[in-house]
Amino acid sequence: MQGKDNLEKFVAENREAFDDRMPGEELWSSIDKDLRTQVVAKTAWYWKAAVVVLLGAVSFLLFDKYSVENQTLAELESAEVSNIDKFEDLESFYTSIISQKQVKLNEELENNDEVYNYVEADLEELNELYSDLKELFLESQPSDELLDRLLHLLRQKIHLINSQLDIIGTEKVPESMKETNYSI
Amino acid sequence: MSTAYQNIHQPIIDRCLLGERQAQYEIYQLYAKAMFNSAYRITRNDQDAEDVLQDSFVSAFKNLKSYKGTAAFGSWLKRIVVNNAINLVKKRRLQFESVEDSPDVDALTNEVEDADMSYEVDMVKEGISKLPEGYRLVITLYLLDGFDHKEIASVLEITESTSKSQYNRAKKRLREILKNELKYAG
Repeated sequence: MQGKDNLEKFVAENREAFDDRMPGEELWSSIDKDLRTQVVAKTAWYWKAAVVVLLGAVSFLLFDKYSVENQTLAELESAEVSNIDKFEDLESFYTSIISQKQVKLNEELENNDEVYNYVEADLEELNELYSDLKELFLESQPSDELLDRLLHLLRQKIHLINSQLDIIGTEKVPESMKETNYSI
Repeated sequence: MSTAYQNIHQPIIDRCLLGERQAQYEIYQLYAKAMFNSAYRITRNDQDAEDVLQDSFVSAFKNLKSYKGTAAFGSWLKRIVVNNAINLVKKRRLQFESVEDSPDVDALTNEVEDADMSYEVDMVKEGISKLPEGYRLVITLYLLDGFDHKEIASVLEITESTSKSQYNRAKKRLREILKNELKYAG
């Protein structure tokens, strides 16, 4: 590099004198405000992140609780479904017995109108009660208690028919045996 | 933090890195005047220079981690200020004369050089202010802001040789202004 000329030497020697201007008094406060705005913006970012995390945690807990409730509900539903299945199995079992016995009873009663009418009325009453209870059970309350009651009604029907068959059977028994039976 | 350049203000800079407001104010107090004058010489307007300074200090504090201490902090900060000021005046479409326009520029510069010429600060400042913008920027960046031609070439997005030729032309033109327009004979 070439040596400094007079102009360059003069400027170098008087460098400070060339900086004779001053920024306005309020400039620092503007800079400070900008810096703090950025800090606030950063803080706001942290807050947003914290809110997101909090919402996430709450959502997770709620979801978890809901899942547990759902699970319990599912278990209940499963129990109810199993009650219905159980009922359907037992109903078909008892109904088949009842049908067989009714066929037998019908055959037996062809010759005995009085008894038949009496049994028929009782069976109809039981059937009405049974269908109401069955509707309640299947539509809204497939509980253990209702299941028991339904099964009980079915057994009552069987018992009623059996009793009637017994009576008819007894009547068929010869007079000598009847006496013996009564004595027993 | 490893510091290649032992900056005398490093303790304050370290406090700034921790976001200490008082330290930021101390840095501002140390450098505001010099930076404002640099910005003003480029923008020629107090309000523009203040805008440049505000953006530059905020940017500097925000990006203080990128100051690696390989140069003086003042030089690092001035580079930010000058870049911001240049970007502002670029909107005025700086026009630089190409070197090819006057191939004998260096010879002309030497012709005007006179050993018996003396200077005064105010006259030189006024003479510089009368220079075309391209000349003014190159001569102030070189003489007053301590940039070398490589740095000037970088901030003004010109070649290094253009910076040199602009500088020589600027000096020649300045002397002419001092002698002829300002009737300054020294």
